[in-house]
Amino acid sequence: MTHFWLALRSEFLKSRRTLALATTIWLPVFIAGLYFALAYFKAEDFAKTGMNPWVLLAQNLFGLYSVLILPMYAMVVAFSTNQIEHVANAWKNVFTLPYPRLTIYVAKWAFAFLLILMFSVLLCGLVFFEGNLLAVLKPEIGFQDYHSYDLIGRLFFKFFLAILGVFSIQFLLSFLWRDFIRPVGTGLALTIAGAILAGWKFAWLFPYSATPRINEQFYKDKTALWGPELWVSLGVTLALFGVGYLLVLRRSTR
Amino acid sequence: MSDFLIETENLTFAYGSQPILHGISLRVKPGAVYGFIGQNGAGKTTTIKVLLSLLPEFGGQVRLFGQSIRRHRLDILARTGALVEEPALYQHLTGQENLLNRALLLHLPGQRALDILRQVGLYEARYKKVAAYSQGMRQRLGIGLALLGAPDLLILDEPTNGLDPNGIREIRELLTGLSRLGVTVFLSSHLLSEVEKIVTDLGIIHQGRLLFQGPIESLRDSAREELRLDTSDNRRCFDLLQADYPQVGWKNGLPSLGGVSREEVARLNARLVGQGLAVYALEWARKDLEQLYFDIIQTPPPTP
Repeated sequence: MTHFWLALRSEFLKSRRTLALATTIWLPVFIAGLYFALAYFKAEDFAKTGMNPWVLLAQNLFGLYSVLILPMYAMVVAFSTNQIEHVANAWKNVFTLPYPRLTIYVAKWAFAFLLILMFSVLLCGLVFFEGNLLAVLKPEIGFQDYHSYDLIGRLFFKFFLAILGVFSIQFLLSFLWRDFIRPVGTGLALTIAGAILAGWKFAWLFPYSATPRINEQFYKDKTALWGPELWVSLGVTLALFGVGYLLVLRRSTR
Repeated sequence: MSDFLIETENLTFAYGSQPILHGISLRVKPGAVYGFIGQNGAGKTTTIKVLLSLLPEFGGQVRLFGQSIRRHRLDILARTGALVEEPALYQHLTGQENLLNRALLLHLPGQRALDILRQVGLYEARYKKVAAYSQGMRQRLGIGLALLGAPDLLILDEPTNGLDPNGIREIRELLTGLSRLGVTVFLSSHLLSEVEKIVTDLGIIHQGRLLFQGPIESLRDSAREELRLDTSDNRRCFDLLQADYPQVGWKNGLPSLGGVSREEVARLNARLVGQGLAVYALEWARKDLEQLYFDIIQTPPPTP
């Protein structure tokens, strides 16, 4: 277990000045900032709808979040965490350390997983903060009249679970391919396909449709807790985690 | 218990259907500085990768510290420092951060990283990003990473690559110092001249086969003496000698021949003088190790 913690800490140390870490921190700030500005300067439009402003804010955010922001972010994290080793040609170096290969693989995977979790928690927290700030600065919108933390928190959690399938596929592609074009290009094509096919009756089987489907459900049934696409996402995550480990174990470092 | 710190028996390896190593049997004694010499593509790096368990699917036996690499990988790697091919460095981190990261993984105090930076002469450049390092600085940092865990065995693949003569000398001194401390050093090079001053033992690999292995002194002993002649007309001298001594050749612009006795030299001198040539010098020269190396691998040395 000591090996695992050391390897995980090493991943955080290595992530300094990387795209993955910068995106995890600054992208939520940027997104929340934009939505805050939108609500602040369009306060009257928000108030006019007569809707729960938390739901309105969430609908505005999750449309883009589910189709583009979250899948792209997962791709960037998967790519960046593997790219560190590819660029440094460091896989062979890492494998000459007195560490079991499983530990190295699990630590890297766990690090990327934690980044996505941090990203989700940070953005969720910023949305809560933003709503409360608007309640003070623009009370006419009415954020202070509703309490939708549970609804929004649950949705962020569902999006987090739903993106794990996509992340696992991207992680494996980025581990296998050294370049940027193949893993990210493939991921982008699959993300577009996922968004287009989200309404198809078998789309729940396609991990890249999971986040757009959850967004659609949000419009239809705000109380929905779980959906089949989440099982698929978790199943794919588990299966690809195993496949990745077998690849690491057998990987020759030419 | 084996007497050797590195021991391979009939080591074979193939990339797919292409065989790379053909029955390599290495014997490296504890405390030795073992030079593993061969041309590019001879199989040096592949052998090193097998020793470090980077290529797990090999044939034969590989033992380090008396233990099989297949069964005791972690124990062996815990006592081994390595630099394989070009140094694997994180470009976006500073030199110090690269070492601190490795120190963290090896559960060593950060101070150890600073000591190593001083040892490899990079202390002043410790806050510079590795992306801004020169080739020589990267090579030194790579060696520093290998040294960090104070290993009992140091495996270095072409450690002097990219270094200027001064850098090469510093690495030599560093390795000699480590050897005095009892560290066993296994280093590969494609240039015998670069390592002959520091190695105690030598292995020569060519096309995946180990053609020579033993103390460097035994190679030196086998360096046969050659006679070099300097006369008023060396071209004519060469032609005259060729009739009786077909092995005559040119060395540094002078006719040169091996396999002649001292008595023959006297006769030869008289004959050259008799032909009207003024003989300025008749001197014995030992074959250098580089030439011997090329003799062993039966490949003509590259022309300068």
